[in-house]
Parts: sequence; structure tokens; C-alpha cells
Amino acid sequence: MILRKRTMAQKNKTKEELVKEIGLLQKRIVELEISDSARKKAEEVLIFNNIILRTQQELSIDGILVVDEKGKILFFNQRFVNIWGIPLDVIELRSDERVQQSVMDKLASPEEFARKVKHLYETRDEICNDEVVLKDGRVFDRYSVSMFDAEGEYYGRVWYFRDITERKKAEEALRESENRLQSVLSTIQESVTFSNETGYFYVYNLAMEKLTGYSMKEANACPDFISLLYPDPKNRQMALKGIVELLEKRTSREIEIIITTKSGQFRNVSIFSSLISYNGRNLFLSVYRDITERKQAEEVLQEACTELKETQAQLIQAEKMEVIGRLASGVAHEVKNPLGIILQGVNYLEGKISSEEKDMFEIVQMMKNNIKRADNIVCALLEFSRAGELNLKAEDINSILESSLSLVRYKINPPDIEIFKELASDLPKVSIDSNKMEQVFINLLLNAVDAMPRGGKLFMRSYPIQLHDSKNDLGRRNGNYFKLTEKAVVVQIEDTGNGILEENLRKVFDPFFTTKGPKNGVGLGLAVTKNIIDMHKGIIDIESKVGKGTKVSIILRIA
Amino acid sequence: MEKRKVMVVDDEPDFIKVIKLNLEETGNYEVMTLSTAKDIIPEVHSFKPDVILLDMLMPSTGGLDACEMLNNDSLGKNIPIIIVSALGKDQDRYAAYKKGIIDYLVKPIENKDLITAIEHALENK
Ligand SMILES: Nc1ncnc2c1ncn2[C@@H]1O[C@H](COP(=O)(O)OP(=O)(O)O)[C@@H](O)[C@H]1O
Ligand SMILES: [Mg+2]
Repeated sequence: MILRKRTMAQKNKTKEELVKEIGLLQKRIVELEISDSARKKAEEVLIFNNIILRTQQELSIDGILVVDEKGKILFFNQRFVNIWGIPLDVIELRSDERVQQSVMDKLASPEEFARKVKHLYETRDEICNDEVVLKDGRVFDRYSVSMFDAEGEYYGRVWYFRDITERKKAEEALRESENRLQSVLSTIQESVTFSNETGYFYVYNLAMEKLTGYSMKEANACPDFISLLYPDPKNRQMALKGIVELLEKRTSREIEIIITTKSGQFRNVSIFSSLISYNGRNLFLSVYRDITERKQAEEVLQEACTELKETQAQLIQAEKMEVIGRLASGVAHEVKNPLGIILQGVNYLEGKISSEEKDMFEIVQMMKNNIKRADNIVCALLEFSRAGELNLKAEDINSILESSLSLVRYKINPPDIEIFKELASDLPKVSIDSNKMEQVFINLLLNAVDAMPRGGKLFMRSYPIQLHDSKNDLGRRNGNYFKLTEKAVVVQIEDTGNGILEENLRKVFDPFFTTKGPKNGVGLGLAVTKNIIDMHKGIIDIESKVGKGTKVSIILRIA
Repeated sequence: MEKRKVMVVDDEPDFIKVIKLNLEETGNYEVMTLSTAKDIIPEVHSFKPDVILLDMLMPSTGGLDACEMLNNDSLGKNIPIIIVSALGKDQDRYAAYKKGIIDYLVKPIENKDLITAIEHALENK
């Protein structure tokens, strides 16, 4: 029972251990010779062990050769004979020397082999583990160790040979393909990385090093390379989102993002990544393309395009204005003449009517009113068409606001309408046509007054602003005219009047749109105003709440 | 009171007709009308107006030309001129004022405003 257990355990033992064990057992036999029964028992053990050992050795993929200190072959297995191709008559001689001789012509470098074998027999405590190359291309793994007993007495050497040609070939092929991959990766323009989920790079090619400025070593040494590449939280978030999406949806994706290089430069890159599952692990294959130049070109193109459009719009506008202008003054002349005649005719009739004839009197008044109305429209049209001619000067906007106010003051009933002036004191000058701008403010002030028939508050404001991208949505609405971060001046006319209906807000700039009825409104005030502001390349914006009031804001460029 | 003489020059026949009616209706004016300014000098010499109402845009001889002709005439240069025109642009106004006119009215104009202007011109003659 005890023996059986031991032999079972032997199965898992290494060659060295087994060899050592043989030595130990042999020594034990000598000890056991003292008693005959004990000897018998020991022999049994030995036989049994030998059977086990033999079986193992025959089944081994290694070719095994055991040679004693005198060069006599103590043991060999079939595999040894097979891989070396040793003739039966040679192996039968049990001479290591003869065996060596018989394989010499098979070796790629026989002298070296002979030298090594000799050296190993002389140097007993040396363990050898190397490779032997054969002429036919095969490669054997060679392992050799000396056998000693417990007292350290030398018994000979054990040799193991294993044909590793296939493994070698596979390794070689792998190395070759890896080399090929490396040389491909290092020559392509695109930056390529191959990494695992923890951000360890297996592949990180030369182009990637050039792009980022970080070497593969630096990238792998950094515990948080993503933060290094994307110090800006916005970009980092985008990168991480890309990775998460890749893991979730598992389909390749391309993102455009800005990386920060080691030297602190920004590069626009497009990253194409795909997920590769390998042994249940997620690996990322990413290709980075530097699109900074393309982006810049796009931007320049975009800018040029916008500019072109702007110029085009201005040209069209200018042309339109010119046509309208010519048309308007022609129409004005043609309409004003007959109106002049009609009015004089009505004046004549007026003098002929006695005050008793009420209806007649009323009709004549009505005719006169409508002549005035037609005349107002013609005048407004003329005014509208004339906005095209600008006389720009650097002006103080506050003094124009003041003079505009003084021109409409007669219309403002002081106890009913309270005026609040909130004018910034040291405003930069604005580049405007003062007459036209006066007309704008008069229009706005009159509208505000009209909107407050029962009185209210009228605010006149001016202040400087710097246009930022998101803070000021006024700057966005008509972004063509203002570059972001440009300095400008804002003028506001605000009233607490009846406000503008939502659906009318879009129409108030339309020529002839009015809610004031034919007697009181022509509907050209805001059309003229918008036109003048456009000609100044300014921005006009109206905010209004029915029942609360209206705020008109104008942004003007500084001179 | 002696009637003041008003000469009206306008290429719109209806206009000069109704102006003449309205002015004469007051009983204060004697009105002579011309539908062209071409022969204005001889007409002025024969009618001897106290004031001239002059249109701007007329075929062949325009209002500004007529002013020029009057300014070059010994009699004409002392007669106050009121422009009554459909043109209302600033540049038209300035051009006319440069010719030494006394007033500039834009059509359509109420008769009472026209009379006020005429009276003013006569006072400042
Ligand atoms: N401050 C304001 N409050 C209320 N409504 C206004 C205001 N400004 C303009 N509107 C509306 O816009 C319309 C058009 O204005 P506008 O072009 O100036 O012409 P008009 O004053 O002759 O009607 C007005 O009839 C009115 O309905
Ligand atoms: Mg208005």
C-alpha cells in the first residue's frame, strides 16, 4: 500500500527528481543487503519502480539516454532511437561513443556538439539545457544532468532530447509576422495603437509617437494616459464616451476629437476604433489620423464662404435698395402731384360748404385725412429707400439718444409716462450715420409711447458689451455681422406698454405691418429701423410680453 | 386793399387751375398761370408778379433753370420765389435754396399753408 502511494506520487515528479530517486533507491539496496528478507523486499521495490519508470520513459515525448560514468549506455527509450535514427546494431552495442559517432553526420555543427558532450562529461555538476540543430533542419531541445547518489558519488549522465522543430517553426513564423507587422506599422502614416482595457499598449507605432510626442514607454508608464492626451474635460469626456459606446455597441466607430501633445499643442484627430475580443478580453484597435490641417482648411473655407455670402447679401441688399430707391422716388413724384391737386380741390370744396351741411363737411375732412395718409405712405417709402445712403462717423450714441428724445418729447405726456435714462458714461464711440440713427430712435420712442396710452415707464439704456459665444444670444441671432468677442455698444428702448402678440413678433419688421389702424400707423417705422440697423451691420432684437411691455435692443459696432 | 399778383408755374394743368381758383377765391390775389417756364422772363415783365410759385420738375425748363433765369433778370431777381413741388428730398431742397428761393413746399399742400407761405414771402419781399 505504501509503495503504491509512492509510485502514484512519482508520476508528477520531474526528471531530476526521478533520477535522484533512482540513485537513492540503488543506495538503499546496498543497505538492505544486510538482511536477506529485507533485500528481497527491496528488490521488489526496485523492480516495481523500474517498471513504472520504464513505462513513463517509453511514453515520454523526450528521447532519453542514460550513460554511466564509463560511457556505457544504461538505458535508452525508443523515442531516442527514433528521433536520432540510430541503427539497431549501433544501439545494441550500448556504447555512447558509437552512438555519438553514428549521429555526427546528422548534425549541423558536429564539432561543437562533440565538444559540448565532452565538456559535459568532464564537468559533472553542470546542467545543460540548449538546442541542437540538425542538418535536415530539425531542432532538438537538449537537457542533460548528472546522476549522483546521496553521498554525492557520480553515476553518469541522463540525456533528454525533444524534437521542437514545429514549435521553433511556429515561433519563427510568429516572430517574422510580428516583424513584418512592426515594419508595416512603423512606415504607415496613420498612428495605430492596440491596447487593452486598462490602457496598456501592445502596439503603439512610430506615427503615434510622432503625433502625440509620447513614446510607447511613456504611454505605458503613465497610469492615466487619457488625461494626458485629453487634459480638457470636454475632450476627455468625449473620448471616454467613445470607449464606453464601443464596449456597449461593439461596432467600430470614428470620432473627431482634439488631443493635446506632449509639447502642449492641440491637434485635431479622427480616431477610428474597433473592439477585438481575444480570450474573453476586450482589446482596442485604434487608428488616429491627424486632421488638423484639414480642419484649418475647412475653417478658412467656411470663413471665406461666410464672408462671400455676407458680401453677396449686402450686394443684393444694396441693389435692391437702389431699385427700390429709384422706384420710390419715381412713384413719390407721380403720386404726390395728383395728391396735391386733389388736396387743393378738396380745399376749394371745403370753402364752399356751409357749416350746416354736416355730412358734406365730414366727408371733406375724411378726404383730407386720406390724402394725408397716402402722402405719409409715400414719404415713408421714400425714407425707407433712402436708408441706403449712409454717412458714417464716430459718434457718441448717448447724445443721439438725447437729441432723439428731445424731438419726440412733445408727444410724451410727462405725468403719464416716466422716463428713465440709464446711459453708460464712458461708452466707446460708435460708427453710425447720426441722422439715420436719430430716425431709428425716434421710431422706437414713438412706438413705445404709442404702446402706453395709459402711461407707463420708458427706459433708455446704453452700455458696452463684449460678445461671448453663449452668454449673449443677441450676438448669435445675426452672427454674420459680429465676430465673437468683438466689443460693441448696446442701446435699449424699453416700455411697460401693451406688448406685441407672439404671432406678430415675426411680422413687425415687415413693411406696412401695423396694428394701429390706418389713421395712426403706416407700418414702416420698424421696417425703416431694421433697414438702417442692417445697413450699419448692427443687430436689432425685440423681446415682448403682452401686457408687460416691449424691449428693443440694438447692438452697434464701435468705431 | 390792392390785390397781390401771384404767378404760378407748373406743368400740371389741373394743379394750376385749382390753385388759381383757390387763391382767387380769397379775393386777395390776382393769379396768372404758366404751364411752362420756357418764356418766364417776358411773362414776368408783362405781368410783374409780387411772388412766383414754381414747380421743380417740368419738361424742357425745370424749376432750378427758371430760378437761374430769374436771378439773371433785373426785374426777376427781386421777386420772391416759392417752390411748390412733389420732390421732397433734402438735396432738392438745398439745390433750390442755393438759388435764393424764399420757401420750399412739398405737395400735397393745404391751401391755408400755401397762403401762409405766400403772405410770409410778400412780407419779406
Ligand atoms: N413698443 C411697442 N409696443 C407694442 N407694439 C409695438 C411696439 N413697437 C412696435 N409695435 C408693433 O409693431 C407694429 C409695427 O410698428 P411700426 O413698424 O413702427 O409701424 P407703426 O408704428 O406705424 O404701426 C406696430 O403697429 C405695433 O403693433
Ligand atoms: Mg411706428
